[in-house]
Amino acid sequence: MTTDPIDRLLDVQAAIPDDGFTRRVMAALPPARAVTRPLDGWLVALAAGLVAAVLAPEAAGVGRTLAEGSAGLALALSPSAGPTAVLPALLAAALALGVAALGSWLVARPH
Amino acid sequence: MMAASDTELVARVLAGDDRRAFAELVHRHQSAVRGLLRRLSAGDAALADDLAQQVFVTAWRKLASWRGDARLSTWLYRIAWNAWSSQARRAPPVEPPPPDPVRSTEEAVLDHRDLVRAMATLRPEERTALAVTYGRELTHEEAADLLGCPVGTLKTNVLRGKEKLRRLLTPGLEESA
Repeated sequence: MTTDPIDRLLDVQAAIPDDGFTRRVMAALPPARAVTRPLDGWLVALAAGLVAAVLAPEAAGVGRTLAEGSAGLALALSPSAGPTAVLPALLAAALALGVAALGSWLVARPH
Repeated sequence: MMAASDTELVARVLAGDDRRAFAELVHRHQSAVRGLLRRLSAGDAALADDLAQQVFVTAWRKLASWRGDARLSTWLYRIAWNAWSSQARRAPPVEPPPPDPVRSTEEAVLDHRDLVRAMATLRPEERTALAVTYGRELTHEEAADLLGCPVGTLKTNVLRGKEKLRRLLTPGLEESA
């Protein structure tokens, strides 16, 4: 046991009672986590790539690559899942479809 | 019944959004985190509690990144230190309170309020070094790692801070020594 008054004073760590602090923190937490998994993002993006492949065979490569690349990004952005995994994948899906449609139009238009 | 460990509670939060488990974690660590932030903020309890709330909300968001290789309290201390550092960059430095009337050694019954007042007059690095090392939570090595400085520098700041506190809090000791 130290006899230094300064050490003693610094060492006295009066426990701070939980005067409603835990309740305050719990009230400040964001709403319940969405129970989505990173896999959901992958599935949406891969489905989009598949749809792109079916809709426009000429642009399928580009569409699928974009969809899969964006799904990878979604996975990196959201290690513990949640809506953030799905939203980028949905964007990727929209982008993939757009590219597929554009590719299809470019190939199909009269030269 | 044995209380669940921090690791078990964290696993329950991550597996099923178990808020009751998280509330238990907050309840368990609130004193240490609030204590650290109060020491850093030189006794500004309102500011310290606002930051502590921010710490636990951040912990909730980032809980999956706690790997379990360090104690949860150390991980929370790191978040608290980051919260304090960002706040300190934005806010003006802690203003030392007006000095107390000089008391004789006999009158000098030191209490926690004296300490808080004296801590506010220290240089930030000295106050920080004392704040993180006297919480009994961190070793000197962990504290130095937290502050991103060599252990030697931390120890120097602790010694200097303590010497200043000694001069401020026990003026009679100097003369009588």
